[in-house]
Amino acid sequence: MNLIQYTNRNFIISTLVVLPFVCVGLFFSIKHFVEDEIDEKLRVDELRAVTAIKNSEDLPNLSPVFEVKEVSGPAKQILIREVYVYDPIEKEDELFRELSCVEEINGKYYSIEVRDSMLETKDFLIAVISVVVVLMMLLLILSYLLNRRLSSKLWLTFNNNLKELNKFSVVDQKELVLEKSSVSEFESLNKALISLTNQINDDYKALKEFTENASHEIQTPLAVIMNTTEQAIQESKDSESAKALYKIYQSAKKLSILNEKLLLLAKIENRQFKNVELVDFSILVKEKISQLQELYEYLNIEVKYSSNDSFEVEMDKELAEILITNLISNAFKHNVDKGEIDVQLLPEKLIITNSTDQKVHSNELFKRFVHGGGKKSTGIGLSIVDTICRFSGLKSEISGKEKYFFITISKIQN
Amino acid sequence: MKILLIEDEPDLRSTLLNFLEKEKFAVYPVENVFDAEDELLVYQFDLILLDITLPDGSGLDLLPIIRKSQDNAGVLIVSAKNSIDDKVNGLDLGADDYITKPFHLAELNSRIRALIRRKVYDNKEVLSFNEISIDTVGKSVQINDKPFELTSKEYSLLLYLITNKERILTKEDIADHLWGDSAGYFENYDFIYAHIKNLRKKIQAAGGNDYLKTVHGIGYKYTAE
Repeated sequence: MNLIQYTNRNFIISTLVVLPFVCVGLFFSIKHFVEDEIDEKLRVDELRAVTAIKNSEDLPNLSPVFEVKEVSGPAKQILIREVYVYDPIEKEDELFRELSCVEEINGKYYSIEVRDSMLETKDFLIAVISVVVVLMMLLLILSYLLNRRLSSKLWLTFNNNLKELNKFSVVDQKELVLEKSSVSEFESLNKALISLTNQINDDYKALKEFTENASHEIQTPLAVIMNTTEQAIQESKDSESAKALYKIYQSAKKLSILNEKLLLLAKIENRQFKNVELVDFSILVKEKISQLQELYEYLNIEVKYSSNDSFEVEMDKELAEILITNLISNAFKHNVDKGEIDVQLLPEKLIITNSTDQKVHSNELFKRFVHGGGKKSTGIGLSIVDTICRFSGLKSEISGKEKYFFITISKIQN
Repeated sequence: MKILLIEDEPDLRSTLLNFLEKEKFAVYPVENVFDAEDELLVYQFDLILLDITLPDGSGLDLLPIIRKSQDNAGVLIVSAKNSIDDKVNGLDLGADDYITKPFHLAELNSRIRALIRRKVYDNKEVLSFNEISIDTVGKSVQINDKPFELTSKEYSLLLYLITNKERILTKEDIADHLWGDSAGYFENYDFIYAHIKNLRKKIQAAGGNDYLKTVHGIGYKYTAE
């Protein structure tokens, strides 16, 4: 429910709740005033009757609205009530408001009854209430329409700006441009958003530059260490110092691989891979497996590949290749002698199974620096797999059964 | 052979200078775009080693100047940025090859030799080591003038060994050269032993000498000693 609907709904509900009370209140107050009016008229009529009797005119008798009779007494106070009286014209009992009293005039007692039909009053009341209800309904509809028109006009800028904001991506490094609004709340929101996004853009740029600089700054000294030790190994006279130098060299090499992988993770998380296209995993996997044929023959590992369907994903091509490389690399690294790798391509799903002697089979392995016991592994390969999946609308899951390790890559269902 | 070495990092520059001079190249080291321009306008080089990130600009900006001033120089970009964009940009602008820091000196040597073979010798040079000779165009090997068969990995291993003869090559070095990024598929680098064993067997079967010495715990050395 949007804000306009919300306010309109509240407006309508509260109006509908208040309306019956207004009608009831109105009914009783109008009834009260009308009865007051009638009572006053009845009193005037009674005075007229008394005056007429004093002047000894004929006793006025106009049943049922006017009845005067001579009675024996005693005098009675004025009583006003509602009664049903037979109306000879209408030929039925009708509701009348009746004033009755017994007055002493010129030493005689007269009973005076003056009546006024309540029928007209009822009609009048109904008419008044109907008019009020209709008027209020009209007012309601009018204000609803007016509100809607005005609101959609007021919110138009807001909605357009929201669209712009949704399109905003820090990777594009474009400044957010918003429409000016005449509503001060919206305008201050715009100002806050613009300054926020500018800040994000600046930070992102700084982070990106840092990532690239870090790469350069670390790789260059590593290159110096590696190349200097390589050269020193050539020139070393005894095998002991050569081995010591080789250890330095190996560590520098490991550090350099680690650095490269961490940079890759940073780049993925900074969304710097943007060449999204439709990637066919069946083609990629087939290519990778045939490239590695010589390798698994040497390693005595049997590689099986079965494909039932194509698995196409909208993602960066380079990332897709890194993903497949890491998955297959993992299956090779943690395999056993004369082991096997089974790559299955199902509709919308890729399952890689490998024989292993390692015990850890949980999604914990997706965390950085967590490894299942392989001494040479950096503990980042599967973290890269998981990160690529997260940023490409994919899902990765690890499971294990006896001596087998499974990784499943599937699309996230929307 | 004249090489222009453009590298701003002093330690790396001196290591490379030291290495390349041992490999009998005439090396002209410079540390920035400004000095590189001076050298390029005065001398003709066979090869230019170009670092991309330089203190006074991008090495890529030098590529148009190299194209104008040099007749036949090969350009090998040496960069710390392992990004496809940089690689594609560099190659589009006229560089011949691209190597990412950190690299093995032997790998650098083999890239330089390959570039020089292509640019300077027009691929007419036949590489030989005693009775073994390699035709790098036909990618074929002869022992005592008799051709024999090698797989592509074995061929590239032999070429690498001969290009870097009399040098200790570490297991990492050989693995990276043969398998590139795929070297990461292995738990360790011992698998290259399989390549080495097959190559040895084939050469000996064809009547060649086994020049490949094992350097215990480190790697291998191709030597006539």
